[in-house]
Amino acid sequence: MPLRLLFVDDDPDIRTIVELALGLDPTIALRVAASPSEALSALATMQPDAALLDVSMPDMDGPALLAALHDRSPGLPVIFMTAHGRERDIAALRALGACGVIVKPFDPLSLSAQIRALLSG
Amino acid sequence: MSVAARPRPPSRRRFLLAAALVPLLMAALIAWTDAEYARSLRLQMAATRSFDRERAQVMLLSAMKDAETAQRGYLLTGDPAFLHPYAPARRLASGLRETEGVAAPEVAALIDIKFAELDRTLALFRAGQHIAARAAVADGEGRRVMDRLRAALARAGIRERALTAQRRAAFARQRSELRLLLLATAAVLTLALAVTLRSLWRSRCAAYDAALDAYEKGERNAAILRGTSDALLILNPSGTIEMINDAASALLGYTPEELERHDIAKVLRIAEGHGAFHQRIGLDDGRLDRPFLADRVARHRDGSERHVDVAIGVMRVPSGDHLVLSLRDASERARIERAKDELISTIGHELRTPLTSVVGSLALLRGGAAAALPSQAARLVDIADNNARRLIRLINDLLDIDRIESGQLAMARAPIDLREVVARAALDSDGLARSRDVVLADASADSPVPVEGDAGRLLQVVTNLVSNAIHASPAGTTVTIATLVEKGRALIAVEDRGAGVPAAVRPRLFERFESGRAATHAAASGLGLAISREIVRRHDGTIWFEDRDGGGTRFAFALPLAGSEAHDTPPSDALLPLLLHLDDDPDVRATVAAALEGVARVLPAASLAMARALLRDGAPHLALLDMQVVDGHGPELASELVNSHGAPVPVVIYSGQTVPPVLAARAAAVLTKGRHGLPDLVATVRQLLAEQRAPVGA
Repeated sequence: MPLRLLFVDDDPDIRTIVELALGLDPTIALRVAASPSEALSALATMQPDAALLDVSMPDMDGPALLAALHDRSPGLPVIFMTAHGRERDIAALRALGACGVIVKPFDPLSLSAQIRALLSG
Repeated sequence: MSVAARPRPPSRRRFLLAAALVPLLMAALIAWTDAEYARSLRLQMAATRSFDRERAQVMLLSAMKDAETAQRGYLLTGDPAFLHPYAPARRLASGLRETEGVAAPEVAALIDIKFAELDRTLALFRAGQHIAARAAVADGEGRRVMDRLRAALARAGIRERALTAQRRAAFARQRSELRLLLLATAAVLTLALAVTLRSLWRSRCAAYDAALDAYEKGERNAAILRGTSDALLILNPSGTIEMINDAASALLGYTPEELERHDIAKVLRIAEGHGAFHQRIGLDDGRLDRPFLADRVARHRDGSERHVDVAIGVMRVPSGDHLVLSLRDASERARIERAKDELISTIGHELRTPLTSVVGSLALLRGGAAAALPSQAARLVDIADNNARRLIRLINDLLDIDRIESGQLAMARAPIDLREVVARAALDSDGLARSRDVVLADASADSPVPVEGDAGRLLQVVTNLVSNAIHASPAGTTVTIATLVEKGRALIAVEDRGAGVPAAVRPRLFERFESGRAATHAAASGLGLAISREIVRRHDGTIWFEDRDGGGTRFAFALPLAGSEAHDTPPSDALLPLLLHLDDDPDVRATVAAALEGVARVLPAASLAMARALLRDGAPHLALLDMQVVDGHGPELASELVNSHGAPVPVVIYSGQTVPPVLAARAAAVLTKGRHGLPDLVATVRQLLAEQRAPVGA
């Protein structure tokens, strides 16, 4: 049973990279959303095992999306991706209920391993 | 801008010489002229006298003739009326005969003979012997006397005229000489006047030029003073405000008139304590102890306080050393610093997002996620990937410095084996090494090197050192990375065969924005070593560099071994000689302590106060002193460094500053940080301790 992962990022380049990177791992079934609203509507058709969210997005940012996701699916493991890698930024995101933070730039070849490590940790 | 030489006063000696010579010359000329004039006056008087004498001689002859005519008339006619002129003529002749210079003795004798002849004939006639009297006249004796008299007077006249002509010629000669002299004097005087006027004019012109120059400089300085945005105050040698500029006026809220001639303490506290102002502010012979005072409080006229940075310049003028204070609003500086930090942070993060796409894409290409690449394409992707990663490292460095400065650099503490960190660093740097044709060699120990720390941060340090080493290495050389346990500590060393660290940057190599590499190497942020030092410091470790035998540099850092706290000090240390080390730089203290391990027991002191406290427990065998520490100069301790026998403790000065010869002469050795490496220091300490081994053993 592959890991069903919901990935939300407004940056199409990053979406492509993550799709390609995670596409290398057959144990991950990726659902990509280009915006938080698309992500929320995707919940109607799928029940993800985890979510990978960009932090800075227009309309609704990562933390707000996390709250919305948790409203509908309490306890959903969420990993944030951010360029702001300061310890206090990471701590703040973790305090919101994220189980992990991946700091950009990340290594696409070890991304799936990183995600699995964060989810199991 | 060239600095004008200080003006010199006019030469008093030259002026006095000229002032003495000119009147002397004038007096001599006047005396000469006067003498010449007197001489010509004498000549003129002599000529006049000669003329008078000649005239008197003519009158004498005439009087004698009158007397003779009267006698003859009376003797021929018997008419007494003829005798009337006789008596006056005879009186006149007698008078002239007596006048000096008129009648020569010959003439006087002839007059007397003539008078005798006249008297005799008149007496005969009056006695009635008319015939006898007339016969005596007719006899011609009287006429002969007269002829002789005339001839004598004529001779005298000729002589007198010759003399007069002689004198006249002399007079004419002398007068022409005098004329020449007067002309010469006039010429000399005219020349002197011209020279005087010319020098007067030139001195007036020079004075005008100087005044104009001073005016222009004054105006220029005033304009600079007015126009500069820094608040400037000029203080006289007693600390009184002499002038302030508009910016100072605006900053402090006072008009210049309200502050000028007031003590600086009215607005700014920069010289606390007692004594002369120069003493309080630390000015000695034109040199300031502290030319920059950060974050001082300036009092505004409205009672509020402004935080300012004060830069002090010394203005050496004849009236004493003045100070130029330049005040800059420190709150503005702090705001700019904050804005800069925010900008760095924002730019850093904004750059990371697009770079994520770049690096991610390249990594996928390299990893073959899309398709296997032809070798040339793979090479190009490698280049792009290496450089994108370097860009990320530079950005990360900037952000790390930002974190260090804001105290947000967090360190994890997990048990790690440093060999793994080194292996990872070698792996990460492999691409760079290959691109520069440098061989990376891992010479780590076989057994684990356990420490407690942040693997990611330590990897950053090692990667930085390795990257620096690769950039410094000539192609074809080897960079060796080694990790091992040495003297109870974990040690990582990165060695290269590069050109070494230039002497100029050695003392500041671990400071921000210092890059020890030449400009031909890849651009470095200049932050890597500063960050590395901070990371190592946060792991309670030390980082240093030293020259390698045979060329090249060895960068190393040492960390406490995991679980080694309990036996940090080997028991054998107690037997080692004591060495007091005074230095306020914790890195220097740590590296020196590490270097001297097993050589001496180092008592580190960060300040004079700490050193004195240590000295109370007993004197060390050797003292290693920095020139400048927070509370004074290291060599100040020298007088207190006396052992129990009253003998002075040898002092080694170990400082980055220049050591004055007086202090150097008293020290056992002087080593300069940066120029002398740790091996030099260890060798010097060993030698000095060996020299006193006998007393130590006894």
